[in-house]
Amino acid sequence: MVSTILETVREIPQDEDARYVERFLSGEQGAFEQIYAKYYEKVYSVARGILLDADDAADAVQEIFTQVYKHLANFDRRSKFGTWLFRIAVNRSIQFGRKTKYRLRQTELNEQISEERTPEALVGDPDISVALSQLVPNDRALIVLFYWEEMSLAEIASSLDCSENAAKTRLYRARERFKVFYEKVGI
Amino acid sequence: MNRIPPEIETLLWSVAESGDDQAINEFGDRYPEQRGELLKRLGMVRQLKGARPHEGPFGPPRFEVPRSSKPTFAWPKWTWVPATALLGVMAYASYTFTLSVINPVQVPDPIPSGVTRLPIVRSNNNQNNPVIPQNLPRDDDEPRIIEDKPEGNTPPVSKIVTLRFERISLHTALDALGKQSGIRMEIAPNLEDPDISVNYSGYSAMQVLEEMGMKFGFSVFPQGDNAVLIIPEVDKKKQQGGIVEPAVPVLPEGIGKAIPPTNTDTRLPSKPSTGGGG
Repeated sequence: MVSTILETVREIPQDEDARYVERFLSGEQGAFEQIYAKYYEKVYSVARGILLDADDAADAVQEIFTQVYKHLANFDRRSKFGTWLFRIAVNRSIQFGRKTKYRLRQTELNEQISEERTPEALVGDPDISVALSQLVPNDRALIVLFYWEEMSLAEIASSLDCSENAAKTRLYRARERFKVFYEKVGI
Repeated sequence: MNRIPPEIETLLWSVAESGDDQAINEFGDRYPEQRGELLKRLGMVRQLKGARPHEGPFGPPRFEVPRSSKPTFAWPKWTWVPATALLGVMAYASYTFTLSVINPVQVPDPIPSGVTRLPIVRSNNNQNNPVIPQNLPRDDDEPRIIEDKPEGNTPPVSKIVTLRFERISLHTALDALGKQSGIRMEIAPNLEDPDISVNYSGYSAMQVLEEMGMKFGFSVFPQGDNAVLIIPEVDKKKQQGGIVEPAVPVLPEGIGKAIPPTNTDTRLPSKPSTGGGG
């Protein structure tokens, strides 16, 4: 009886990501490559927005997908795969940023380099890169998810593991801070 | 710089983010003084959205499969709850088992067959304190414990016993001792029954009784016929002041003679308060 119900549930058409996940977990290596190809750009964009450095972002993306590869069995399927992936992407990028910042500080101390590190310019207006670099990584994550990935507040909330109201408030503040920095840079 | 009201602020962001021409025009008509601010935000949002990086012309780099090529299996999160509960149960079982091995619990019957409870007989002038038994033996009486020997070679009072209890009532411990040795305990009902812990091994039953008497405030009177009378210790201070302080019940007729120890034994009253001598 139970097995019949389970079979019925399995037969319900699932979204593409869920199918990839199922296929990968049942041993099909190629399914993960499809996930990787589909989400690489989005994950890279999030990592780049948070880290503001192309090389760091590329390294972070490899780390993120390695984490996903290793822990895909932990994905509980209550949320969308994309939301789960972005949560990992945001958290890992912020962690990666801290690690890199520490490493950089150590190098600067060792080599007595006092030059200020300027952010790598993004596409278009360079003031955007400068203004983004003034924000804390969490604020950058919100801006990136909202403006670059065009995620809804509910999706952002899931990705940042907070309530929708909290996400709304945090986005509002991040946007205000960004505006202040952007206007300052433009003067 | 004038502060923009919050509702207009929210509207400004919404219109700027939508990029909808009609909404922009309507906002401009409605709030002409905010038109400049709206244009600034429109520009900023456009620039921000346009700054999104894209992958290079060569597409994403090849994903390198981690060394431990198989994805690691992990239990679902909900399994932590039963796992924790199971761990708790196992810990408790282990604790109980260890405790039972280290200190085996011997819970004797509440009132074993060999123990007689004495009735309380209260004096008229003091309702709270029972009267000292009239037929307490005199000092010159010989102990008669040896006279009545049990069937075996060793008398019960000399029987080597082992008594180990943690937090058990005094009466229960005495009952257990009685059962183990074969001594018939006659416990005065006004003997307090606190929770005690004892650990005697390799002593005779009488030694254990006397030791317990010193520790827990009672006197032991061998009665012969493998019986002992246990009564609470009399408050010596009050006795010295000449105050009559009955502390033991009157023995009903038929109960064997109690043989007090010598005068040097400080655990017993030096003189029976009500005199007598049976």
